[in-house]
Amino acid sequence: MKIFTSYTKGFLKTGNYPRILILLYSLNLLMVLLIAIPFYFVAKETAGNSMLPANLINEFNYTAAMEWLREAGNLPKTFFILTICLASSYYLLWVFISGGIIHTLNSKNYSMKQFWSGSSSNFFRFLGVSGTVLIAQILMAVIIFSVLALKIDFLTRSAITENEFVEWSIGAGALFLLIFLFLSTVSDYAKCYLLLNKSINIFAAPYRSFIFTIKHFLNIYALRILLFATPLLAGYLYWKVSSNMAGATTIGLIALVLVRQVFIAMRIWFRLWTYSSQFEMCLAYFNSDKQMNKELRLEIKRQKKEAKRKKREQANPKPNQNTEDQKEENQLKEITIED
Amino acid sequence: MKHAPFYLLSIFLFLTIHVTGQEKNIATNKPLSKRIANYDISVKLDTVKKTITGKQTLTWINNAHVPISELHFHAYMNAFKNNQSTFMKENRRSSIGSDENENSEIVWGWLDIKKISTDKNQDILKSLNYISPDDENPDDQTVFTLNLPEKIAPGDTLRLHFEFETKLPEIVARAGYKRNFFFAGQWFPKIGVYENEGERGRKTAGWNCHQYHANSEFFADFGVYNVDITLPENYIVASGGKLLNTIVNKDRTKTWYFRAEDIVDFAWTASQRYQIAKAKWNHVDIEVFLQPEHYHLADNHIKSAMATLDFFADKLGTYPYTHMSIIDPPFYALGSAGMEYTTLFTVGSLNYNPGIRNTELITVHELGHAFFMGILASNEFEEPWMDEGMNSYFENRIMDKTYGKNNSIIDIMGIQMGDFEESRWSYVSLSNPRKAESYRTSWDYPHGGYGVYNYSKPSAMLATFENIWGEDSMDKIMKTYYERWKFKHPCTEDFLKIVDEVLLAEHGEDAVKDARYFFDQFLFGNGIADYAVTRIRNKKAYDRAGMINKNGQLVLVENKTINDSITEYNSSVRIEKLGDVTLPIEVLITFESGKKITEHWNGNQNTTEFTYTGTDKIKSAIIDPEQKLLMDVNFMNNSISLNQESTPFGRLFLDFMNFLQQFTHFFVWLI
Repeated sequence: MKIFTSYTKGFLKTGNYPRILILLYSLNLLMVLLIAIPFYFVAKETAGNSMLPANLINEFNYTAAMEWLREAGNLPKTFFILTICLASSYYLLWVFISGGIIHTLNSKNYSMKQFWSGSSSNFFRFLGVSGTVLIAQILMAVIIFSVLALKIDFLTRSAITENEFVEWSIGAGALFLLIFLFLSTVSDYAKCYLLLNKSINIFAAPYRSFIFTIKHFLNIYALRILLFATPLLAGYLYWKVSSNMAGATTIGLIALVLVRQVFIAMRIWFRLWTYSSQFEMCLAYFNSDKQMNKELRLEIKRQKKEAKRKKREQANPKPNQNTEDQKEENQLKEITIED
Repeated sequence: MKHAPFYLLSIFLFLTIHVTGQEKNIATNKPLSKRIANYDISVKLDTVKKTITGKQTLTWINNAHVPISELHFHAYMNAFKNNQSTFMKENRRSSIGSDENENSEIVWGWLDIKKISTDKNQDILKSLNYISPDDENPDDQTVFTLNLPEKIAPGDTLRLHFEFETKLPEIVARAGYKRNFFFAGQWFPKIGVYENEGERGRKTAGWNCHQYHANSEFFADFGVYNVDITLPENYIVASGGKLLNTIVNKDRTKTWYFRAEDIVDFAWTASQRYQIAKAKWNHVDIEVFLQPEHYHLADNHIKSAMATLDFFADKLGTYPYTHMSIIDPPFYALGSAGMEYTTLFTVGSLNYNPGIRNTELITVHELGHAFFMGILASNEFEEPWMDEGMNSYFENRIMDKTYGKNNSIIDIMGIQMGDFEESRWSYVSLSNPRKAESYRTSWDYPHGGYGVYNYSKPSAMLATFENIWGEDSMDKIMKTYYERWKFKHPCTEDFLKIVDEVLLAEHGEDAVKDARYFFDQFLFGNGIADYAVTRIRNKKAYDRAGMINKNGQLVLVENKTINDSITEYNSSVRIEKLGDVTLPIEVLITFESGKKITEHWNGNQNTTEFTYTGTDKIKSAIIDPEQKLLMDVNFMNNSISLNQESTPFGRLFLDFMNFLQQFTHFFVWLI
């Protein structure tokens, strides 16, 4: 029940943050345009006044595409590098943004100011968590695909059909995807953990999150799979629709662009929904999770105690306490008076 | 018992027929060729030792004009004996076989001749001498000579009896074994071709018998093959011959009897896993020997084979044989894929490649070789373009016609590629297309150039030829070539003479000269063709101006337009020849009013200009608008438009933007 409750609560809650969605979509579009616009001018320049690229308007034309690429020389390589830089920058941006998202999810009152405050205050801690999990993901990829390479090497001597290679490769890919999702889940809950308990350090958070995820594996992972399957289904529908849209006419092209942008916005929204649902799941376990609860209660208790003490001091300011220094000062005064 | 002799005779005849496989009693078709080299081969395959052991009787007719005392033979399998052979050295290979077997005895291949004798029982094995006529490599044993005790007179028949053992290598260069799959190609001692003076342009008569090179294929005379193969009974055998009979022996082996007539090569294969699909095209029995996991692709093979047979029947000639075997090797023996043996050819099918028509492509190409190399038996050593290039040209035509000009090879997720497109691009995309000519001996190409200069460039060349002189003329040339040279050994000059003949009749003497020039440049030479539109200009036209003689006096006339109310223009389009080769070109010029003019230029000079005067300005010019001149190495410079169409760039921009957006969001899910 927790799965569906978190799933639906997360869905509903995400609807409360349209400005975050617009912000994220706009940032993505802006960053992409920084490369796409120069690309447009470069492409036009390389084609010069040639009419050959016009053969690409209605459908892909191999000859036109290859001739044009040849004319472009090293520019495709340059744009490839720029694309990688863009992806890396976008990754960092999302690390930053995820702080604001989770902070907002945790707040009763929603405001963009709070959002930015949450982003900036949590950035380095979240970067640490993301970096740790990214290293784990890379390690898992290396392990899984090294094992696959060994298996493929073995198969070259023993396999009867090529199907075995494909099946093993698909299997390895599926296993990597499942582990990848698991680690991504650990990362998300680690951020929730960090936000709820500021005393935890960035290395302990993923570890605690890992234990937490294992402890409640079925519910947490099932929720994650559900949250992954939903955009996957949407992606399939998008592919089905967009592959039948040639965009050969002006109206057709506008329609195709709209469909694409709607899908991009949906992808962002799905990510927000994932954060939101997982946060709901985290809170659902909040009261029953003793470890999490204990630490938090201790921390809250300590904070309450500190707050009370300060309040008392402000309400009842006392004369200087008989400190050692005061005693000595008093003695000196007495000695001075006697003299 | 009165009729006992009759019954006994019947039994005896029955046994005789059955034991000898009936082949000698079947009425043969009328010979299609001279049947110079005929083989009766009886062998046994040892599936454990990977050897083929047996006997061969060669019946050879001396086609020479002189008596012959020395014979030349191919021993192709010796190319895999060690890494010192010419084949291995040219391939820069130190070993063959998979890693676990590398350098063990089992992976190497060879041909061991144990006995050679004449009909008179004269042993001539001791006269066997290995030679290396191409590169004098003393370690290469793929060609040997034999000295006959007596000369064979012209027209006489010689019979030689061999006992030999072939050790199959682990699959390499289309032959060998892998696990329980066997492919026997070039597996027996094969006599070379004796050519008389004048044949194929020879200045002196002699043997044409080359070593086995990395890039070479083969050359042999036509003949009849009677082959029986004995092997374990749980194997299925396919060959280039028609299956006459099978006999199960007491020792749990089975003997397969095959016969093939008027072919230049005999290959066979054995596997325990074949599943056979059958079909019929007119008089031809088609059998497809498939791996079980590829059985669902039988239709792909059959349909493409039938489309090929239809096309050749229309454009060249009807497939003359009554049978065809299509072999699908297992994936671990793909080294034997994609090869032709006239009435048997190997393809290479794989699952999990939707949208890529490799099954159809290989079937069409290898079947085409039945015509180019199998029937038009050109010398694949010396003139490889004649079979690979011509066959590729037909393959391109068949694929594009059957599956679509723009997507005959690839059609997946919006990405498309046609067969002619691929051929052209393989050639024009070379960093230096001038690197080599197409007309070379097969072992003479720069490393990596064999494929492009034998397959792609000749195909694009012939397509360009067809587009210049017309499909009808091209078809007539090919049909004449086929009719005149089928079951013979044509050379390039034989083909070009037919080109001359047909073009003279259809287009006149100038066409003959132009065609010769065309082949001189593209086949024998390494020139490239590149025409470009370099300028379009629309300049206002002016009346006379300056100092003009008027009534005996010099009068100053000022610059002004002819008619102030209407602006006239001197418009021009400049075309330049950037390459070495001259081609006749068409130029389509479009004016702003929509008017179109098609100009023709013979392409002789380095530059030309088309000029017009009028109120209409030129908007665009395009050379070869239908892209008929596939040999033009650059289509980008073939056109200029003054009003550059923005739509393709806008579309590309949107596609790229979408790609970036989708790609960056993959990384979001990592966080």
